[in-house]
Amino acid sequence: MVPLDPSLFIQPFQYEFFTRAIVVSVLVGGVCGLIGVYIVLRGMSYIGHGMSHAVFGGAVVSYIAGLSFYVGAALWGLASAVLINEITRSNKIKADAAIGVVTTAGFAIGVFLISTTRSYTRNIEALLFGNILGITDQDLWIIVFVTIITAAFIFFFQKRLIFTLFDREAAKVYGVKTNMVELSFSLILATVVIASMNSIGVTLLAAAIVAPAISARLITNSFNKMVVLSTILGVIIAFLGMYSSYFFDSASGATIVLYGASAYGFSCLLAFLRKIYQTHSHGKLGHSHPHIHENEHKHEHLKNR
Amino acid sequence: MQFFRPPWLLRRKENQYTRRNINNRGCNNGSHNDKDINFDTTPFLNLENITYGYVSHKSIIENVTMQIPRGRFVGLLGPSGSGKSTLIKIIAGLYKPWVGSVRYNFSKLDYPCGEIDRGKERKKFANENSTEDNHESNQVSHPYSYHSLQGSSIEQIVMGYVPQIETVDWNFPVTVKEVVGMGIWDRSGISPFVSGNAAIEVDKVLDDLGILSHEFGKRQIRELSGGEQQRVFLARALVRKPSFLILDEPTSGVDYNTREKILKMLTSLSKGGLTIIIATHDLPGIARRLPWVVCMNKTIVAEGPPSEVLTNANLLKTYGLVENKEDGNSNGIGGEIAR
Repeated sequence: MVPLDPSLFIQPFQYEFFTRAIVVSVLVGGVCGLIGVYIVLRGMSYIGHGMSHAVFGGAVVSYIAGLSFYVGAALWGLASAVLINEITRSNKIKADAAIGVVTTAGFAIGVFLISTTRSYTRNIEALLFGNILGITDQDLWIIVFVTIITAAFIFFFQKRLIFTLFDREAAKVYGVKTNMVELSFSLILATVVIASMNSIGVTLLAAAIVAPAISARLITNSFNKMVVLSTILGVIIAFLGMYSSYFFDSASGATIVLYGASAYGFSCLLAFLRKIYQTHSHGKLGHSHPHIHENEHKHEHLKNR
Repeated sequence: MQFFRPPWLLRRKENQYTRRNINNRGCNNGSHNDKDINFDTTPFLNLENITYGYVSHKSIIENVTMQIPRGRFVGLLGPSGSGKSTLIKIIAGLYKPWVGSVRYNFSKLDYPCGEIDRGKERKKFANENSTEDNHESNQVSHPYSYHSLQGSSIEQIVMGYVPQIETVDWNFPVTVKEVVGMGIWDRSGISPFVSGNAAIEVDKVLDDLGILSHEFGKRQIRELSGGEQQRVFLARALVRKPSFLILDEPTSGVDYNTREKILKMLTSLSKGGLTIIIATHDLPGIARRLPWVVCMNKTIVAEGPPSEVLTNANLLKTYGLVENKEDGNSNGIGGEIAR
């Protein structure tokens, strides 16, 4: 058996582009994990999906016009955020259906322009599926800026956000400007999506946002723990995905998402094992909930005081 | 169990000295069951000619006019779809009526909410009926701050709101203390966590309601029983030190013991001087035992002490219950409930 050379593991870091890509993806993973908690708890995972597709149209328009794709993506993304926010508040048509149409139309515009101008290049492929080679210094600074803005927003708006998500009516009665909070959150989500496009790709971004959050949700019932856990999971998933993509020579976005799906599978397994551990019976009544084992055959119920 | 008597209300009570009768419709003769409560009968909440609906030309409530003095414990009674919860939400400022106004101490409510404003329906209705326009309002920074016309100072009316528990997402990963802390989100600093004085306030109100313990505070809300959930939401309202508490069906889906505990708790708060409005469809369990009830079915049918209001005739109008005997007092369904 040929011994494994340890220098192989640090080999990717010899390249500047890879180190930059790792830093960007770790920041993207963290910020997606952080914001994913609010997306998941809002019950609107499709918003991340829709938003990421919507900005693609703007990015392609910019690219064809010879501008930085950030210009078109930003304008398109912020407009989509406002539109999605308005649609979500409408009662007549279910928000997921309306958002599905509106945002996919944005994506379709991008595909339409590519097909008519025949300008499908590696840059466009990077936007769709993510590519570590497509990450520049500009991307790095943009994601640093977006991470700071997002973290500051979450920190200062945490109480308003959690109250609005949990009990919107009561939040209004208690003076929370829920419309402003929701619109601000949509705008923050748009900036995260735009900043993450290059490293993960618009088609895969939704999974990167949702996977850490739902994994964390299965592990904990505490909101604060969920936020921390989801952010950490996002960082780990993004690091492993980007790092592996070097060795697999695969699209970075796809690799990151596969790690995210694995994390979700692992969390499901953990939740299942915990349920088995907590399952017990009193007479013929079997049930599962948290309890403390005091000794071999006694335990104290935590549910019923 | 020690019941909660809010100290901020007891202090206010010392300054209250006015007591006079107000005009009431129907069978109010001024004598009612809450005579032992020394509340100020100056109208604290004035609802004037409220009309509202969710779809244009189909109003849920019509021409509701009601006055509630400070410290009164009022039950809004009616069947499902009678407009109780809608009226509660109008009072809370969540919906803006098509026509009419909500006044606290004679000041019009500045409606804070936009998207459930039903502006189009309201305008359409108002134009067609050419009735009083309700757009003029005091522009204040907080939705429940109103200029009092009785003095130059601004009295802040702090509202406590307990929603129907059916509307709450019980899978949401929040603990008891986090839920109660939401009540003082604006007074607990910029940190994402409830700590310091705010945490002490949360502990105090949980203690007052008899549910304070280290382990209980850390429990996720889904793990609580129906009664505990209601008490947690009551704690979230009380931690604001409200001058006015509104509750939407707080006893729906709870067992007899829990209902009794909640009613005792609310009665105790009312005796402490808190103004309370409770929407309920529980006639024998809740409404009969309140000092003041308002029967409504789209509009107000009757109001007053339950002994005088809960007659067969009024119940027939409110619930559409059919009487078996013409005297309306004995064998009818309404009669049974009224007893």
